[in-house]
Amino acid sequence: MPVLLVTSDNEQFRVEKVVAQRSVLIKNMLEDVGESDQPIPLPNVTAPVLKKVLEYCDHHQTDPLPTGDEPSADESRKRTTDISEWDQKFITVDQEMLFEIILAANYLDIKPLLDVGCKTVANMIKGKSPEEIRKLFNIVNDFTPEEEAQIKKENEWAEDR
Amino acid sequence: MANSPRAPPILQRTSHTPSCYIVALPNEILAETISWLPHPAHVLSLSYTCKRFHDLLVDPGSAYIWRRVRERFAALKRVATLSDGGPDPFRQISSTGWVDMIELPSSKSLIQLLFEAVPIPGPFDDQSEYALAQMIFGSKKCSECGKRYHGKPREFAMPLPFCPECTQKKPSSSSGKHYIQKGDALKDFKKHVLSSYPAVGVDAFAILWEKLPRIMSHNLPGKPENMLRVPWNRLLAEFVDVVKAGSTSAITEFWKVKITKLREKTRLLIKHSSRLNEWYAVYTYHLQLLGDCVKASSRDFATSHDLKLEDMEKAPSYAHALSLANRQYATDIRPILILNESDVISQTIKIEANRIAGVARTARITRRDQIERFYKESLFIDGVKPTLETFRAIPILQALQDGISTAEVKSKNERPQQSSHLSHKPFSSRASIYDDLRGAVVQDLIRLAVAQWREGAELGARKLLGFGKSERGGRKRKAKDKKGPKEQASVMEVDPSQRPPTRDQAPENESPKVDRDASSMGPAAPMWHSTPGKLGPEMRITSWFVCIRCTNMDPGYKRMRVLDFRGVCAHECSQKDWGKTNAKKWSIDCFNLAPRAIETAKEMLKILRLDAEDSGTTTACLKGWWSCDNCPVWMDAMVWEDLARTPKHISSVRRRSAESQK
Repeated sequence: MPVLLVTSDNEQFRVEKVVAQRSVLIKNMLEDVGESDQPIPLPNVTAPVLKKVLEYCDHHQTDPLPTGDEPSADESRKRTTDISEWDQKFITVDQEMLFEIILAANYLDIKPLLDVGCKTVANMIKGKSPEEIRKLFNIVNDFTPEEEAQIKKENEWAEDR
Repeated sequence: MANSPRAPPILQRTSHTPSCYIVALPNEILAETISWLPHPAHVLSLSYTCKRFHDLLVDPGSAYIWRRVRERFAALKRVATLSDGGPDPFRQISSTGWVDMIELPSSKSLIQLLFEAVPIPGPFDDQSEYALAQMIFGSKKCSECGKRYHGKPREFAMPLPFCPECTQKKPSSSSGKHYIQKGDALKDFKKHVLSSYPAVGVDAFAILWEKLPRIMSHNLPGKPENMLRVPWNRLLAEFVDVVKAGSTSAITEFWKVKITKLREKTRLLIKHSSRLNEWYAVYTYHLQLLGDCVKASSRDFATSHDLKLEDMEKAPSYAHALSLANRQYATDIRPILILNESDVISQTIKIEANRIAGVARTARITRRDQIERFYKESLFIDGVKPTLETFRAIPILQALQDGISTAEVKSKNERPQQSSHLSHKPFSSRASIYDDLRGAVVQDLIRLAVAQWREGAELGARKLLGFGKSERGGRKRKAKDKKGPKEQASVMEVDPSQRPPTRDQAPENESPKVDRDASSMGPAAPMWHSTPGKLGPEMRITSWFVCIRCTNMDPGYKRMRVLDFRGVCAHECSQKDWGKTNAKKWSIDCFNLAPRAIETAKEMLKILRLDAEDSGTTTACLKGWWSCDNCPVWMDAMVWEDLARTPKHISSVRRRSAESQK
């Protein structure tokens, strides 16, 4: 039975229940509401982002759902920072979309997608100097000169706060 | 996570400046992202970028992020090899980037068998995770040389920053020149110790300060007193402040308690630092393994692109990729190299070409020098030798100079097909032609060529002296020469109908050579086969004159400061040089034979084995027939004296040419 999802920009998506249930948020909602034709509002997700997220859910609809068993999740975390080939292709988007996907995954509670997003960002950060990181993400260096000096000193002395 | 209190904002899009999306992420997602970073140094880098990240990562509440990264980042220690009969798989694994295998669950057992993962020891007492990471990996200013570096301090127990170079240069000194010079050394050091090990406590510090050297000397190798070369007076003042309030007994008690506590603390601190040191040794080993992997993958890349690794290592874009790989602690540099593939390849090819050209250039210079030395060592008959340049022009020497050796003709033919890293070999081996030069065949060829040259030189000398073709044996000639001018004239067989060569012919070309080396007459290259005929008197070496009145000798062979026959006709002394106002501008009396001409002629006579001291011979060679451009009359045989006797003819030439100019 299909589920109707409504985005913040009022676009409607009709998806299979098994696809929609990749999102723990939607799954819980469906369980709470029971069988219903009511559209599910997703006020924090825009249509383009939801489309992308649903693409992910569709591809991964047969994966085993995360059990919520934290230790095992930690175990897998220890093992690999690799991203599967399909996921890598899927996540090759501009930065704006990337962070929107991360936020949407967080909001919709799709842990594997969130992990893919976070790993991608981590891979972007890894091995870069502070200046390179700033340039990559357009981060403004908002340290005042005094603070900067202070930070440098901290760096020298490994001072704690 | 779904019920996050901080609702994720819809990201703002601004049209002008590119937006910073990462800063807009809520803390828990940031924490999630950061904990995926593979190395604490990466987290530190992020903390240096802006306030937001710095504050987040310094916050004691974020310790779990650091802990996750720290625990995940484990240095690998090799614990075993599969040496039970089978081949050691380590080599093979190393070349394929074995560290990557740690990510694969299936190979876990193998990795466990070969390596032990050693995580970073946790922070000491209430040292923060941030301070720990900072102490091990953070950016620091060397207290000795003042340079910034990333890495550990010299001692974890006494965390003064010392860059690796200074540590290597001064392994025992820990005073930190730069640091001592700062003046505030003590304060800074105190602050530093307190920040790295806050558990030591402020009041304990003063006692620590006094007792530490002694306590440390029991537990640490080297001379800790040296480490603490600091102003003790100031320290004392601080200690006084601490104990001012208490009575004597209280102070003693205070001492006892503090010292005991301090001993315990110091013991722990030293234990902790030794654990850190151990870990760091493993980490260094790990880095070395990574370096090996990167090197192996670099070699793979170079081989697959038909490049030489040594050349590739010098390419700037490779250096960039390497530093990136090092910072990423990557095992395989290839993916990074492929990003800049064309740059790396083009730069490497350029470097390789330069290197090969350099090798060839050096080899060429070596060969040149060897030929020169060989030339100097060679003995020539009568000491009459060609100039070095003429000598070099000998065909066999030219071939050797060009790097073609008798033994390597084969390899030269094969060279185009050889791969690049082999092609420089013939160059380097061909650098030395010492043995080739001394080979019997080469020696014979050279002797033959020199003999030919000598023959040519003789002919040339004859020509320039006006003797015409050589007859057999100089001695015979000499006898004939002695007979006097008249016989001489017949020997020289001058054909009156033969016009003298025009001005722009031989002399212009030949005379500079004569100037350079009087004994090796004539131009170098064509000397081998040229058979000179007769030369008109004008062109001979003996028709060089100088004006004895002035230095204003414009025409003629300027560089030699001599005048040729035409120069004599055209020459006019300037008034100034002349001196007397009523004197003529031109007079035959002003001219004389150039001393250089006489010298050169004598030298050449020596080559021809004629007696230069014999006045008859000299006169004979200085004698000439002069023809006039303006009249078909030969001016009779004459030596200089004869010429001087016929100024009428010359002046008529002058007059006529002046008229024709008008």
